Amino acid sequence: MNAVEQSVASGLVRVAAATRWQRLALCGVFTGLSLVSIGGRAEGDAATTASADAQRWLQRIHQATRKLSFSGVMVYQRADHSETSRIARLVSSSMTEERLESLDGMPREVIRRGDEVISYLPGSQTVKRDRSQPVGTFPTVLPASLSELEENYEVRAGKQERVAGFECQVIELSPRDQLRYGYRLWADMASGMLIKSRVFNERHESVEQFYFSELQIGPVSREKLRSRFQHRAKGWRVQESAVSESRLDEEGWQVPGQLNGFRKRTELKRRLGGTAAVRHVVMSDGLTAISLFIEPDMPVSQTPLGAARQGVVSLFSRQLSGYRVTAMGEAPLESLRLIANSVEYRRPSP
Amino acid sequence: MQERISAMMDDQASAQEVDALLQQLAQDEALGQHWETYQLIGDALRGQPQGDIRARVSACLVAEPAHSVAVEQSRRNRPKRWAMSLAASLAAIAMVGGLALHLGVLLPSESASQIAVLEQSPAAPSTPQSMSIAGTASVPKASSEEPPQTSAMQEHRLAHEQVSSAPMMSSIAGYARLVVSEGAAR
Repeated sequence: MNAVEQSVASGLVRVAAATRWQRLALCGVFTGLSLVSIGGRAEGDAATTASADAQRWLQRIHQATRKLSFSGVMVYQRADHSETSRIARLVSSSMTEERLESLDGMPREVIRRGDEVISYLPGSQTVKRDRSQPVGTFPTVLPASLSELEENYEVRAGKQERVAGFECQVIELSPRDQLRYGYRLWADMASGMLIKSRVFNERHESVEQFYFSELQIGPVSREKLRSRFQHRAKGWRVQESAVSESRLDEEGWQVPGQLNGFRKRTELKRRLGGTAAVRHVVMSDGLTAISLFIEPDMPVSQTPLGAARQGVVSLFSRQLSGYRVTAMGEAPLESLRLIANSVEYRRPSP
Repeated sequence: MQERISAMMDDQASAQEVDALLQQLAQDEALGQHWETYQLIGDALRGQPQGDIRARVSACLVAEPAHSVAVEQSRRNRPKRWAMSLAASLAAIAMVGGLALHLGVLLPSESASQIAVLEQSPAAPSTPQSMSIAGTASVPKASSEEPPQTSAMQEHRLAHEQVSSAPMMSSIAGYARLVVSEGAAR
């Protein structure tokens, strides 16, 4: 019996295992019940193998999206909207540079050099300067949190499909509870590059997707990374993001380190919507990030109270001790409500 | 000038023309308002999220003298005036702006669908759990007392997108969401 179990567990050829089962069954060693039990175990082991395979794919995607240079056209779609952007990315030993330009409507542009991100937004005549946060830029966050991801999602390698001319492996990330959305990823079989990703809500409806309609993997010319707006933006309003680390507990805020699979990643302080020091806590379940904003509750409030939804992003906002606490993220409302309601305030002793 | 703005929105203007127009838009308040309005129409045609449209119309109405009358009305009547303003604005500007050809067929149904939602929103304040951002933000309260909600929420959205770990093509791809939002917000 042990030999059989071991042979199945070690992934030996199924036929051999089946032959042994039959032989052993004939000998009357197994009852029908134990056969079912062993069969179930074999299925479980197969699932484990499939999961390990899917995890290897996630690691490949992680490597590819960090190390590959590419240029192409990316389509972003959500239920009520779609927008096409040109994207180019050049990875060198010293720095990663990227450029993203919207192709629909008014041209808008985002330039990234290293960790500096500059957005040129002609509609509002604004230049936004940010330092990119290393917190959760998928899939860079993945390797450290693969096991954590497994706690919250069932990871499974699916079938193979062709997207934008690329033969792709499909990877399914199905939530293990109702507190997060599901994901389906398409990765290029040859390079591991992520070609397409789709988000599913709690009713298994597709709510958002990104995909490349064109993609060239390999060296990218400097011209494709050059800003079209830098010289036009003279006189535009410049917004600096002004982000700094923060310690909320020292100010009396109690945010659980872990809740429903979401772990606290970082605590920041930033200027938002005219408020100088909005506290911004980032929580993640290994895949999805939820932002928790804490800001003074102005008479003319900036965020609506209660629950709201815009596309794939939901938010839940409540008042607490003269402050407004808002949870926001690509997650079901219930998840956001639980996180927003978990925040407590105890006035720090002087 | 309005034709040139129209050309820019249709991506038919040259790079130099876009440059020149952007300069003028920055300097000329009246032109800037035209630009805003064109964006509004464009968004309506593209079926942009209701929230952005409403928040921006709200912002327009704050600046509109006639709106002070609307604020005096009962809550029950306000959305109707609001919706009528939106429809009237869209129709009038479509004529003036030479966009009527583009809008011709689409505009009536688009504006009608916007209005339907506008009128529904205040009728369901007892179910805040399912309200849209815009519904909560703009409609039930007097617009003159509320700043445009979208810009404030945009800031939060941007901050969130920067840390969001959704499976994206690369780190910058998350900005595609922002770019979409910015497109919708203007």
